[in-house]
Amino acid sequence: MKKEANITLGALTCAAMSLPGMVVQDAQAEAAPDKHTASYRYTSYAEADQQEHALSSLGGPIARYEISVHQFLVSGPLVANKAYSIGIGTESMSGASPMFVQPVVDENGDVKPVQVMSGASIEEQRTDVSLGFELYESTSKFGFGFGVSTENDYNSVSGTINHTSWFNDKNTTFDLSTGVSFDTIEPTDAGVYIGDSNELLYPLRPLEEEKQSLSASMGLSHVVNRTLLLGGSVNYAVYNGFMSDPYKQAYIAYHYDEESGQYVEGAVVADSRPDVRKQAALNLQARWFIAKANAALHSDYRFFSTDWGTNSHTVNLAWYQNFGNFQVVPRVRFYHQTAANFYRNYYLVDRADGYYSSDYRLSEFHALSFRLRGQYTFGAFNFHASYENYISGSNNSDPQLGENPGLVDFSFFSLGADYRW
Amino acid sequence: MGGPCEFKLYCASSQSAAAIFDELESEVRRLEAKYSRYLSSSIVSKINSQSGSCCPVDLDTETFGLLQYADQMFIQSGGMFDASSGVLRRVWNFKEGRLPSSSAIEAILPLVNWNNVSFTQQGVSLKVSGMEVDFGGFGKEYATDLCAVRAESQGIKHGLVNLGGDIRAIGPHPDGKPWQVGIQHPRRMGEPIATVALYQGALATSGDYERYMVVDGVRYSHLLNPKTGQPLELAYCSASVIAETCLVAGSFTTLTLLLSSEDPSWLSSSGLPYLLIDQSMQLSGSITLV
Repeated sequence: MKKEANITLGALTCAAMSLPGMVVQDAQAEAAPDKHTASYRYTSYAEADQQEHALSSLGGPIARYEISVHQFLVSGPLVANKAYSIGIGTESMSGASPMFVQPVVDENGDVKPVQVMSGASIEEQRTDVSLGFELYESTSKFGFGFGVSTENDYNSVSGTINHTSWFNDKNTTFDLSTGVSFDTIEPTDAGVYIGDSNELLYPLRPLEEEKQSLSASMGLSHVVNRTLLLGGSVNYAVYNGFMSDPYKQAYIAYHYDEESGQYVEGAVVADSRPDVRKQAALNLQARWFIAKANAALHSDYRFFSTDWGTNSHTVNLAWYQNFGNFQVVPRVRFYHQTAANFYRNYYLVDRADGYYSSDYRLSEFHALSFRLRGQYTFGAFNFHASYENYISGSNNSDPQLGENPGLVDFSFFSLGADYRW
Repeated sequence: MGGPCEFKLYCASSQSAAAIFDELESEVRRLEAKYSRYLSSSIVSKINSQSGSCCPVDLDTETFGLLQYADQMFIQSGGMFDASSGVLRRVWNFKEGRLPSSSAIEAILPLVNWNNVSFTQQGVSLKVSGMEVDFGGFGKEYATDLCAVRAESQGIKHGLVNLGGDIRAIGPHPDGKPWQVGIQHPRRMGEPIATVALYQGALATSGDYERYMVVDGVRYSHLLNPKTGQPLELAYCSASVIAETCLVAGSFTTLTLLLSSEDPSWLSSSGLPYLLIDQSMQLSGSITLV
């Protein structure tokens, strides 16, 4: 007996689609884009004010960094399987940054570290330009990029080369990439004397320094089935040159002053870090598409290690929920890192290796961030907005290795739009 | 492919066009060599030559998939589409214009029964000696789909594949305008009776004009009832359907004609856009005509 036509349609479509060669292989994965895209994004990043109870009596501004970023990106096809991208960004930064940490004795007689901020609020402008080029072949893609970033005290030039190839009916993707960067630092007000005197305004700041980096990465991802993608990658990088922060200092309780040959109580020395850093990272990712919910769960883990001793673990979970043309993405991220070997909030005595840093970014801490992102597609337009809140802290109560008083909480929001033609 | 074939593709360069055209042509030739019942080396000929044998013929994934598709056509049509009915050609010779005798039809009917086709992923066997299967009922539509999918996988965004009237559009023209596809007039060969605007997807048409004979003033269609071996009295002389794939579009046109004498409105509940032409050349359906 014949079936109803709508039942027949389902049965025949199913039988047709199970025939080999009836489904278009993911042409997007290997074909150059066929449309141009222009994107704009505005991001406002604001660090929470320095906590006053953790601020030194030396004072300083409590307002930390605020950064506004404008980013423009245009990308699209060139002739014969080639694609381009051009990006321009500007950043305006203002606020004060932590300078060094000093120990104080509180009302209970306990030693606690407190933050000394940079004396003046800083105003900075940064501009960057990036160019990208991609060449698509039937089962591979080759790309290179070039970037320049400039601000009044820092210039950087970088280049990347990457290659992606697809195997196994394009279910498996293999990536290789390498990059180099060359940076020069000319700290603000370095070599400036106070008035007509012979005394330098910032005697610890170098006039000009350089650093370079070389990095490589290798990644593999595989579509296990229609609802699961697994991937992993390893990265390795070597940094060479001046990696200290010329605007930061470190406090030494009992410092031997070579000029006078005397021990000085409570000396401040320049932030000083090794001139080589080797780092490696392992990234693992899983993407589950949950058809019933029209949503996808993205889970990521990253282990990052440097030969300075900062090892970190990052766990990232994001839920991509689709509602027609809307997409909402709540994300939670947990981060923990150990301190660098030479890091202390402050130092009791001089170190034999001469390395000093009380930069909170080298301390032991954990951080938790929540982000909510929404996007709406309307014809050729895509509008998106994000808000993120980040809080950090440490459970370590040791005055020298425990929570850095400069640890920062921040929030940012971002608004953007893309147009395709 | 039993008719003129054409590929109209918008390509980035003449070199890439030549490479894609070569690939599509060799794909069509591959399918013809593999499934033609006229070539003794084809897998269809091999399966048919082993009919009645106890040893199944080995199957590859593609042929197994086509047998599964034929199985679905048989089930969905209540047995009115039977991929083993090709043997009826032995008695129904439309070129000679002579009616077969009842005894000749009776003698050959035992060879027509899809239930006697036994297949698994490993192999297929035709249980009765002299049986034949063929994929002529949907092979051309399948080839049309494969060519369109291959072109699209090579990055083609705008094009049209036409294998002997089975058509699949790979997107509209680059300026967004649709392809204009003519529907054959059932009684005036070479003349369109209507024109359809096709942006994407497939358009297939079946008609009683493809093969027929007139004996003593009676028109006998090539569409035969596999249960009786007799030509069907069709309510329509042409059916056109638009679907995502040409395979499904072509199957619906065939099933519509096969089922039309019993259930003329069967196609309408599929939800697919269609155009029917009845014996008085009246057009009906849901396809928007240009």
